[in-house]
Amino acid sequence: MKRQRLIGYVFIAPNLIGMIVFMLIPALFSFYLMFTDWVFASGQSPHFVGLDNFRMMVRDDLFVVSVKNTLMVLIPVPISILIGFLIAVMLNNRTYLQKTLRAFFFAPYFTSGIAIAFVWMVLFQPSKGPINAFLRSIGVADPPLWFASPDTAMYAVLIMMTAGGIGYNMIIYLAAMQELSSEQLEAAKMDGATFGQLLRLIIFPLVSPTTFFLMITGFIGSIKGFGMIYAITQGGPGNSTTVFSIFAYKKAFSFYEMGYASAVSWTMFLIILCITLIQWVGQKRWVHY
Amino acid sequence: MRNRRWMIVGLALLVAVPLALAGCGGKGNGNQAEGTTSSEASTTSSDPIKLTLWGAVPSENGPQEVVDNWNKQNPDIQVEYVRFVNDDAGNLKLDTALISSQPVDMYVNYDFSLYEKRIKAGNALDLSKFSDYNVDDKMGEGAALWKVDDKYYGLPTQKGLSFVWLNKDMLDAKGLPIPTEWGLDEFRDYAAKLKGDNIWGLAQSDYYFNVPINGSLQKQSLQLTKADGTSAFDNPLTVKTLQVYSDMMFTDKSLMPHTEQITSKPALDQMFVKGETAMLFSTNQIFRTTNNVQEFPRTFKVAAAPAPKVNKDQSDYINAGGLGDVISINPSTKHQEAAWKFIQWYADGGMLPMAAGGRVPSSKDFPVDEAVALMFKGVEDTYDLDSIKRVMFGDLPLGLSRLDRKTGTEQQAVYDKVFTQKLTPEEGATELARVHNDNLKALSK
Repeated sequence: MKRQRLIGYVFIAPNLIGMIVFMLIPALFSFYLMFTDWVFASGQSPHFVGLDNFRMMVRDDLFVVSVKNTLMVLIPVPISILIGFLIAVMLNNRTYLQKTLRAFFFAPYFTSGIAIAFVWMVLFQPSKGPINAFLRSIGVADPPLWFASPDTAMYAVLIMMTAGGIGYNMIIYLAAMQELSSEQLEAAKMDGATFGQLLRLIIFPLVSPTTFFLMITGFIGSIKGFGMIYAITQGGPGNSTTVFSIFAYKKAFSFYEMGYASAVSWTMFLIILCITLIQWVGQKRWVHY
Repeated sequence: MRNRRWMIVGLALLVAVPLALAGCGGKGNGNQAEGTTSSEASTTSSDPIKLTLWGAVPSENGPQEVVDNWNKQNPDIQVEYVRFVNDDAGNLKLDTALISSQPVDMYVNYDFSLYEKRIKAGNALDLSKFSDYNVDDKMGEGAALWKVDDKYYGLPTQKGLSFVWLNKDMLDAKGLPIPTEWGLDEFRDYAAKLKGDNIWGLAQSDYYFNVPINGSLQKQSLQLTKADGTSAFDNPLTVKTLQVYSDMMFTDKSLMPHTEQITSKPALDQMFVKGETAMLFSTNQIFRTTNNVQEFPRTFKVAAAPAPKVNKDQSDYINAGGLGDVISINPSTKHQEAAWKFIQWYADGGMLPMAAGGRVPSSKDFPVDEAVALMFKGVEDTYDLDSIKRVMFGDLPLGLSRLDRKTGTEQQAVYDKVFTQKLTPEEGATELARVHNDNLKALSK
């Protein structure tokens, strides 16, 4: 028995060590740093400054902008879940090219995020991009500049994020729908349920744990989202797409303000925690296990 | 209970062992550790001294040949070149290496604010301890701009000016002479005349919005402040610069709009050699592309003009750039003398292979004719050599902006707003000054 346990610990050791060394220790270190004014590579030791970083944060215009933008990137989550759900319903039934269509919708998920970002950059290119070419062809004389304008860059990001989430949501829903009892659906149909009623009153409640899972992971992923936005806009133009993670990254790795960046990162953690807790408490009303 | 103790002991070991191993590994493999044997010991043993030089130029554009030449001539001191990219991530990598005792014996600085930061962090050796090389005498007056507290912590090795590269064939077709002195009005006029179907009059990256602006402020102070210590950005020359660029984008349509640059991220040097832009505002980096006629064939001659002042008759303009490629020695290297020997050799002649990539050596002892010959070897006929030599080897007043890095980065957002017409040029100049003043205040705390 003892030997078995020991072998068990040996097996989990690589992961455990990785987690402790690369996640737990840095997290605790950054917790300490957020109360200091430490500037990386300055040769100075961290000085305890109490809550100064948080005071500075609330007075920082760019922080306020990043909060607003971070809340905006939550919008694509429910939209992509809804669209993913509807596509999954369609592809769960027998349709033409069912497997091809599943692969088509899922493809963006297993493609590199940076590659997708560059595809969107080409699609949204203001003067030669296909989207604006189409808009011009239907008579829009002055189509949007998308990523290139402070007025529209955030909307372009939201469209990109919505589209990016659909494939993953669809696959998870499809898996959930495969588990649904066909008897319940047949019974509802025999009772005269319309397709809309079937969706709203039978299928959606039955896959509600999946929806809950997608909401939780989707919100966390969106708030942490960094790579695709950074690859295209670096938070610009004019800071219009600066979200929490980009704000923290710039403070930490462009300006080396590690104390301040740690405070921003922990604030981001607290916001994610609050949103997750709210969802967790709220699930009792609509999730059926 | 016993199981729990076992678990705690096990966990402690799991953490301690890899950390200890990592520590040992770091020392054992690191160049610094190899250098922990004293220089005397190294000379008595057969093992050569090993030095590592970190720089941002791709190794195939000269650095590898430089270290190969050195290594052949100096079997007792072997140098290895490590490339870092000169951006935020690359500089972070270098700074992390410097503070974590990774093998960095020498490194090249390209930006004053980072150079100054590294000095303050104790990561650059005070070169005044070496008395066998007079930096001011060798490099000329531009070198003094790299002094901190009246001392050199690095050796500036090249002249790094910004120029305007011209497609001479297009100039000839329009009957335009190669400019030798011009302001933004003439610059705009050239771009408007040179633009054509699918040809921009001018292309330039974001950095070059700064060049005329900073060049006009540097005579007041290297920090680009007024006499009272506040930002100098809010002035008519800044407004005019923003206005001219804005007009070129939106009125003349001779300059690729800033917004297009953001979204397309075009390779400007390749646009130039393909004839998609008649002029390119850039540095000597362009040589990597214009000299590579196999990979980037072109049929036109390349000419060069100095960077435009804001007003042609402006007497208080200083060309941005000045001396650069400042090589520092990491004070923690155990081979300071060997590193210093290498740096002197590099500056006074060793950097010759870098000339092919367009780097103009700053040392007066450098064989300039050899550098020029190498720079244009095999492609002499594809350049207007007179104009190139005039701007690259001429006697332009040199400057070096000491604008703090944070302001430099944050001002990008202001340019974004001006060149998407969210701010007028006047408002843009005021905003540039506000960002600068905020950072000056923070720095003075």
